[in-house]
Amino acid sequence: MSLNWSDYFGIAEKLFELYPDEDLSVISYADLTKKVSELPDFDDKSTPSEAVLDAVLSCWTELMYGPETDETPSTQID
Amino acid sequence: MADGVTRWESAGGNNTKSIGGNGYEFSYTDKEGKTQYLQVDYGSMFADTEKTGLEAYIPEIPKSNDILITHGHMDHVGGIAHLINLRRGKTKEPLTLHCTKYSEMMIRNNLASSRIPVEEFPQFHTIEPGKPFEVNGFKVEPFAVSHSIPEASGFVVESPDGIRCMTMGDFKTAPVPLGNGWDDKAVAEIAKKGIDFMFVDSTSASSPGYSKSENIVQGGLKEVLKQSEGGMIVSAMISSSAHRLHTIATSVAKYAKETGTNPRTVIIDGTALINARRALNKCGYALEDMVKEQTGVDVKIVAAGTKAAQQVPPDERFYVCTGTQGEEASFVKVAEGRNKNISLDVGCPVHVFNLQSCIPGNEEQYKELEEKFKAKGCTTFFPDRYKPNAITVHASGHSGAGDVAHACKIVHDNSPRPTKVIPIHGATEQRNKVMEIAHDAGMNTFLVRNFSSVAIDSEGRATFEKPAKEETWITVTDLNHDFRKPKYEYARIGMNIDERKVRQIGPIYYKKPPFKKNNMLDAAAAKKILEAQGRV
Repeated sequence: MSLNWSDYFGIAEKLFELYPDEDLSVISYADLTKKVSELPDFDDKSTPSEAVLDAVLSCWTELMYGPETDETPSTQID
Repeated sequence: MADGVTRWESAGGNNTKSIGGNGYEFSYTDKEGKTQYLQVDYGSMFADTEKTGLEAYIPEIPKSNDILITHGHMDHVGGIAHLINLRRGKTKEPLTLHCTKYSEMMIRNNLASSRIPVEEFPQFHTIEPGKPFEVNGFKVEPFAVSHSIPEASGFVVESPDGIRCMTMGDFKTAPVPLGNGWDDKAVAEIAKKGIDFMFVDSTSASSPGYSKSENIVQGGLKEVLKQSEGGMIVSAMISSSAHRLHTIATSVAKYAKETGTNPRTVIIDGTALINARRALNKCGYALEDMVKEQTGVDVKIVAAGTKAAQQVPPDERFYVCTGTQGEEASFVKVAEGRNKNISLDVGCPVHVFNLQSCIPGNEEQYKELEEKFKAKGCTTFFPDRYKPNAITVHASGHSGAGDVAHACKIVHDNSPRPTKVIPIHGATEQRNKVMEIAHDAGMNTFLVRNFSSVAIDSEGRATFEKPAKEETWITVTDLNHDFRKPKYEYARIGMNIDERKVRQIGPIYYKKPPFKKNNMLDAAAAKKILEAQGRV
């Protein structure tokens, strides 16, 4: 089954497998787009929006470091 | 004057001990009875999943397709992903969020984490302080406020009758290092156009004086660096308080300059911190460049688990983790030896600093966290919330009594109309304190409960409408309990205001998002790519 930009979590899963030590705090859109376009199952010639690219990065980060909500009930009061 | 009724309604959990699920609704009803709405914030409130099985509570579905966003904390924006689910197939009207760029980045991270299809993301209208716009018949003027998260906003919302309401958002008045913050002159200019009502953040109003600035934290962090000479630093901060990352990097640079030592490398760990750093970059806050310009010192900030991080000698590392309260995040994983990116067994002393004091309710977990680090032979500093600490490592994002008095005075002195103050976002004790402060400033004040509203006629006269006996909330449950593939279920509940008893009203059915089959790379394809990259 081929991947396209709308499946941002599927893309993130594959990137996570291939690039386990990427610095996701500073990766550029250009670098990300290149890495995705090189995925063997990727088949989408359209230009991705920043929202799609950011969604891929959010999910890739979550896969790499684990799910977090950032804020516990209490951190909201500080 | 259009001669209608302007109304403000507390549409979320603004005014109890359980702060969260913030939402306010402005509306205007004209002479013909036609009503237009404008929502401010749509946050989530934590539900204590272990006890209730629920993920969160969110307020009732807003009547407006437009939402003004004060800032990107989840208690103000955490309901938006669920709102998109609940609106799916029920309306073709686009949802538009009016917010700053950094808030947009925080919201987009949360939408992706909730697996909302990108084509369903809301429209974002980027706002700027001092640049008014019109929406749903209301004139809206955003102004910058200081808070722990960058790019926080307050709004003046003017109804067609000319009634002007100032909603402050979460705020303090101390300067902030990133982006726009509180500006006395800007607030005074807005106030000169007249403010009828002022809705004021009460969270920390019981604390005397002004809320601290990040500059004070710099001094504390330099002490942290001094005490940790020759050892590795492991710390934790609230990731959304992203000003702190700048403060840490600046302190590292200044300390290195003052002592003639190599600057430590700041190594960040945890999903929320990595996301926050990326959002800062996208919004133009290049921390390394900013610090270099301010101090002349190169400080590197890298992500944990990368080759760049591994190459830094242990005694030059300044780790910053997520999870200050011992919740399942980076910091507790380090303490329990479960963090694959950070080991405590590095051949030099390890000094652990929690950059956040214990929040009431977390005492046991917080203490256990410190004990776990001690058991591994680390020195620890976990600040006491109620006693003076040797080192100041945290500044709150909420206004103390001094900030509230300061804001009230500016508005009172500049508004040509009498301004009435309504405290929100706090327990009764804190809201009473805001009333006392505003009263001292010569302003009229009113206390409103959750889910009550204020109706204002065209002359500015207010009627306080009693709340219903029951609050209505929407509960959020993830049936899958799997962050990779959440399956949300929603239900409406009623909560008796006096007895806090919950009544089930019924499930809310919604159209599920289109299913995406996520097939992992097969081993052969993965190997081929890795070989091509010279990585195997």
